[in-house]
Amino acid sequence: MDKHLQEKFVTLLEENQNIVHKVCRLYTNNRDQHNDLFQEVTIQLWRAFPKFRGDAKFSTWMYRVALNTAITLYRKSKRTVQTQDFDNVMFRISSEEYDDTVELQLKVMYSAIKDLNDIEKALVFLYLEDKNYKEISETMGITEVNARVKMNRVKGKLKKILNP
Amino acid sequence: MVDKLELLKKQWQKQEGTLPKLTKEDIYPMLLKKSSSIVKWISIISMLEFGFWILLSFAFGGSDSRQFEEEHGLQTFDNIILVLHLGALIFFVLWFYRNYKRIQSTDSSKVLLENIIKTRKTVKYYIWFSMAFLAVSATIAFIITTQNNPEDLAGRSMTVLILQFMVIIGIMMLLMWGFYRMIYGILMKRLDRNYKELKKMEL
Repeated sequence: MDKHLQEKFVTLLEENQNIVHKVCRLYTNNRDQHNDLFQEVTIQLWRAFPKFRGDAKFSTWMYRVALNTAITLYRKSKRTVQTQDFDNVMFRISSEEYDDTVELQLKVMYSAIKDLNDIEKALVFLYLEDKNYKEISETMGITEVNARVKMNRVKGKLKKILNP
Repeated sequence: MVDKLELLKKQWQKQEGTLPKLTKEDIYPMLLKKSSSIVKWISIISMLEFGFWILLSFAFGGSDSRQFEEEHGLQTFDNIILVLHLGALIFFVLWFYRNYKRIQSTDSSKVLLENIIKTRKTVKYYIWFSMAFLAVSATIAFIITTQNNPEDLAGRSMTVLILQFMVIIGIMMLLMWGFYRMIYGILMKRLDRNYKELKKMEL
């Protein structure tokens, strides 16, 4: 593939890499798996890039490919040992903003989200990313109504976990 | 609880500072690496399965078996079987390839899962076809052999021969089925589960 296309792709990925990292953080349990998944998403994005026509935002397009790779294409390696603090890292940044109880509850909720199945996790991910139900339904391939119903069920499931 | 989820949402969106930061120099080498996606594994295993059946048909086509065919009047029958099997093989490989090309990571999750499962199913149908084909052709060959060469039966009971024949075919099919279930199970477990989950949302 030509150099210009490669350069354009790498620049776009560098600018939008957070999306992929966040997907990786949600779907993997340690640094090695995170890197493996990031690598696989990059390959899938690069393969599909020649067909990216630019009529959608690059970031929107990335959400779809990154989630599809995490849900469908990625084969988790056997390295399943969880790195200490791998998941807690996102709660470090603003711990002063919340009291300990709230922080603990957020940790419990995050860990509950990580225990959801792949599809539920994708829904929650898009919700956390502030995507509307239209975008969620288009990414997942379900109707808007069904996305809403399922999200409410997942919220109920999380509520039960937090308040058993 | 929903408030907590809103809090988590805010926190989630602030995590940028804790995410790894890759440079262009880190990303470039990634483009050259090979994919290790499930689709790649499915296509490799599928090709091996096609290959296995092609080899199997060659294995039964050696000079010893040709001599056996001549002696037992199976030549015409064997040629028909070969043409039918090759025709079916070409049909299934083309069907597989068409479905394989439809797999796009840019589709919605549901369409992507459907296309992968459809592609894998073409191989599944081919395996079922091959097993059925093997059983039927072996039965016909057995009948032709015993009719053309009644002397082969001398001193042996037809019922025992048929039973022996059926047990051998049965064991072969059972082994194939077990092996196939294992491979298919390992490869498709997660995909099937996620597809069912998405389908469930539509009920």
